[in-house]
Amino acid sequence: MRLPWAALLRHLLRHPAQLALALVGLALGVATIAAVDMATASAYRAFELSIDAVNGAATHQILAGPAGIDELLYVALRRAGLPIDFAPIVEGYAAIGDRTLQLVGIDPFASPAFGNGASAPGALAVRLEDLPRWFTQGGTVMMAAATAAELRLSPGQSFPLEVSGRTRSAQLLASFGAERPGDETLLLTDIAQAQEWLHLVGHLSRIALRVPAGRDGELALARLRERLPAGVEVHAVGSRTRENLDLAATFAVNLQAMSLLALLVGFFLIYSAVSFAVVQRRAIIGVLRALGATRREVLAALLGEAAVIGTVGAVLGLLLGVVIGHALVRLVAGTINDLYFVVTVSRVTLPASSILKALAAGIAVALIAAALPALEAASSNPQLGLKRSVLEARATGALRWLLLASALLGAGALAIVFGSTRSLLAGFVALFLLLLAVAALAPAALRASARAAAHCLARASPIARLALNDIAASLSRTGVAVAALSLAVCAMIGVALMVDSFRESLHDWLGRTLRADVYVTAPGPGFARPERRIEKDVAAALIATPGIIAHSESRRVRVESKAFGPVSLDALTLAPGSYAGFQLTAGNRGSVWDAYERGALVISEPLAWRLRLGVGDQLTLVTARGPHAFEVAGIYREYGNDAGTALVSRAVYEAWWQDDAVTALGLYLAPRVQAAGMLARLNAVAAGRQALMIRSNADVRELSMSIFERTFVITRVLYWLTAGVAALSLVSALVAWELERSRELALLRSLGLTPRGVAVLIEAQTGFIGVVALLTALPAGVLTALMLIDVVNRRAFGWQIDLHVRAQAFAAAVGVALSAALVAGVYPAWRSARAPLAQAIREE
Amino acid sequence: MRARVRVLALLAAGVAAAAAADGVLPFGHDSAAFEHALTPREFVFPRDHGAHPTFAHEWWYLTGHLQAPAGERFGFELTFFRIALARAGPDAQADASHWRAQQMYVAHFAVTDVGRGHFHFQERLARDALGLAGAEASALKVWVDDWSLEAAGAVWQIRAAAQGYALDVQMTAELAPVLNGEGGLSQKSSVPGDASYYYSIPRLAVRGHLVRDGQALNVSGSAWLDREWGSGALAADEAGWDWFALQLADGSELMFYSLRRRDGRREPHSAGTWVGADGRVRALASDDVRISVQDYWMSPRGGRYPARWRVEVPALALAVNLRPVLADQELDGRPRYWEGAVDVSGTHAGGNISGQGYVELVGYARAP
Repeated sequence: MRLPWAALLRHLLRHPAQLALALVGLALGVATIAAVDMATASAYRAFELSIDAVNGAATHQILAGPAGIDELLYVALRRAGLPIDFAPIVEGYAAIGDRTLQLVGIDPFASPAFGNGASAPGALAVRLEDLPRWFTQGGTVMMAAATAAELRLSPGQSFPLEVSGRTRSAQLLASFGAERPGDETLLLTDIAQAQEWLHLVGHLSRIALRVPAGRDGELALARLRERLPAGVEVHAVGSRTRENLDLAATFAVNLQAMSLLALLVGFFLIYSAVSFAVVQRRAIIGVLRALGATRREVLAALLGEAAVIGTVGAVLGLLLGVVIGHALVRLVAGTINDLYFVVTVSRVTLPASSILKALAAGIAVALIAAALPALEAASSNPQLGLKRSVLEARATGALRWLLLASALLGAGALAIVFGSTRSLLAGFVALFLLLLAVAALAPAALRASARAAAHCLARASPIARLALNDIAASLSRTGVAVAALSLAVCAMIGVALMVDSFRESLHDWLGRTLRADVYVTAPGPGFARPERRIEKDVAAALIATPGIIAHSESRRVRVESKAFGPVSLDALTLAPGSYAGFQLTAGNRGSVWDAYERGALVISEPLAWRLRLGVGDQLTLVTARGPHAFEVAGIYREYGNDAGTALVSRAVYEAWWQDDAVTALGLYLAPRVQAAGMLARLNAVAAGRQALMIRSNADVRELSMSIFERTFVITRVLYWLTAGVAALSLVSALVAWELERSRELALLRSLGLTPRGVAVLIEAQTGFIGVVALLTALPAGVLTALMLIDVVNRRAFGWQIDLHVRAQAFAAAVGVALSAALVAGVYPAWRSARAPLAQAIREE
Repeated sequence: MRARVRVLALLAAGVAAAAAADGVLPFGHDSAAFEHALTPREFVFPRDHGAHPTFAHEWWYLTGHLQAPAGERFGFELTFFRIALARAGPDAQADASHWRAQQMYVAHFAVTDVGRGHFHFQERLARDALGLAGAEASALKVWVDDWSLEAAGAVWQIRAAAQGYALDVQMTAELAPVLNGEGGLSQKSSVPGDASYYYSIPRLAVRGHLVRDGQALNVSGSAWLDREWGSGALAADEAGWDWFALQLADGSELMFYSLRRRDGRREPHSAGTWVGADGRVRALASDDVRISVQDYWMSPRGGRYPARWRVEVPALALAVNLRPVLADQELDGRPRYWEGAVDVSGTHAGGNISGQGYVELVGYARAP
């Protein structure tokens, strides 16, 4: 082994703690990147698979409005002699215990396993010998073998099934081998059974098509379109299914943001871990250079070592990432289930691209982190290299450049914010530039404040002055630590303020919007699923319950728009007290609701933002009578649906979509009627007819808030990961710095400072660094929060959040900064207080 | 005809067995739910061309030979099977789905394009609901999707289309229905009730269009119709069968089916019918007919089929050789079987004779 290699390696091995820190830092950084990628990729994949599982080999599908497709259209199309395979599908959700499955009603004769078929669930064929029971025995279902095993069901077994609020008796006919993971979320039954269970007799949810490729297919599609009535349309599978459009529009944004944040945190962690490992060994490098090692040799040795550490750390990080990723997957899937649709993440996937990304990030950042200090060390004069003073002088010199960089980064962030209006990516870039500006500013702030404090305290305590000047003079160590800490603290404060503000805004909004005393909602998962409906007689009985003086009715569905894909529609019959619940942000207050009753839409802020619609614009929706342009009369505040909602009068909706179902009721109680007693009475009315979700106003608020909290669980996990990273890098930097100074400290002790005095000195130094980092980060954190609220959230979702600043939002940041700083001092203080004086001095 | 029982049977075997075992579908001999073929019945036409839903299963089986003006030859098969899934229950509930069905239909459509050496087959299944598939009981009308066989007075219309080939032809019967077995009661074994009602129309004149790759050809020729219905179960010791339906140039027809037992021997209940040129019908017993296999064909999908035969009926002074017009006329459906057009040549009553026919071979398919 060549000398530089051997010497540097030996140093590392003699200081295993340093090596371990570098590896831990690296591994954590890579793990964060990999884990977030893995969680998002798995959730996304599970979602895709659940779509694929239902679509099978379909190339296209026929969709209609919320009322579904008339089943006779299917019969007519099958007999039309078109070279297209058709498969009818009736779908919804069903629950077996806690497990929610996609209930899919199929006609097995239309499936490809029977030779000619279309495209209902791919290879999931009903065996010939099972056909009589499939067709004639009520309640027969099939599911993937893995799902059956999980639910402990065996073929022939009967079990209760919850569909649309009713408990049905089902029997497992047979299980099938899941070909794709998405198949495990399927519960197959005959189309007749599905229609009856889902109250969709006479209607189909979709018709899946397999259209031949090429010109023949185009001609066939054209002939098919001629036969479709108004409001029924053909869409290519994968391009515009209502589900994946939702995902693309909303959840993907959340996932991207998380990945980017993880990447930034990871970069930072890797950088600080590796650059410390190099900086630690300046003395050895100086010696090596004095012994005749060339710059090139030293550089090669350091970079080679960084590559090795980077690779090992990255591989360890990947393994760790897989572990963390498994935990994160549940959180991500939970969020999707709350807000978007039912997804069962049955397989955790780590895409090859994510592995490469994490590995590349680990190794590349390690090399860059080593290269900067290594270049500096290798190029220094051999003798001077040994001297700390030279290094510190250089670090001080670099301050000017850092200040300039900070100013440029800050200006860049501002320029991007004001220079772009809608780009979310630009918003993120601006946010990161802001954070980097804070990091660049921190060392200068530390030096200036240390010197100022030293100046002020010079008279009072020479020891304090010494300690403070020491900080200012040791910027090569303290600077990086304070930069890391202020960046992390700034991010923490920003996120905490943003989440707080969001929570408060949501809370206010719920208070204003939820006007009714009791809310009744049709059961079942999935926002705006057409099969979610309160049965007519049950609704009538609920409304007629004594003590109810008014009610509002709501039908929540998704309809196709001409230019923008699916749009959530809330068709409302408002009670007199309901109007005040909508806080209009645009539109004429006096005339909005008149226009609404006459057929105009009132749309939510997120929808207005996403579709770039203003008051007076038109939105063309596909109705059961064909496309119709609706005018936008007003825009209202909404946090309930990040894809946005359009309100339409229920009378208008019924006329256009020919659907009179009700998804939810808002009940207003007579004065002095207690909600609790009323809930019991309403539950008694519905009992035995339909299991409905009947909740008091307070319960709905509480539920909404708890969903909100769950949504931010991932954010919180990243928040604490960032905090941990920052604390770790601060501790490692300060421990290294203080240990380096053990001779100076021994000298102080020999001059009469007590061991206790040394400990106080060290704690004061690290504490001071923590405080400075905090003070730098506080204003920057508020700025970051503003950026998150007004730029990132606004651009991602279109909603406006009011900034709420509460002291508690800073508490965690303050705690992390100070405790990390103080903890960093504990070991050096303990060590130098106990070290035999003579030996410490002799070490020189 | 018994052979046809088996094509259906193989398809429905699982259905029947499972149904009987479950008690869902009383498919067995002891069932009172379906009517059984126990005694000869009086056939009434055209009513008996229609469906007999009181029996568990039934089929309409058409095979035929067509010629285009330029001399191109085609064979075709169009078959509709009706299979009861459950006995007809009480009237459905008011909120019951219209997809609820008590019957299912299976249809096979095959075209042998002799000139191009192509054999084309497609299978369709549908439930008897919403008009997806069905059959009328009072007259001839049976359909699956847009494939149909329907009578308009004396003229029968056939429509079927599968990728590349579409058949749109009219047929008129040249003979009255021929009752097979004992006055139309075709006994399957010595067990009472293990029987079906079975008649054939051995010669129908065909005229119409065959559309190939979008190009309509005027075609004419002759077809053979087999009709059978019953509720019988199946014997366990049978491995398959060979069925022959020959139309000879002098106007006579021969139908014979040979049931093969697992031990390789011919089942004694094998039987046939001879229709002389003068229209006289003669039932043939198993011993009346000798069949020797001259050659074999290996299916690329697995299995070895007989491929040429010599059929002798000494009592009729008939000896003919049968040669498939195309080796691969295997229908890759459920079940997989061979049913194809054959050329006939040989001697009858001392003179030379030629003709055309269809042969069905079931039970030879093996895993490759």
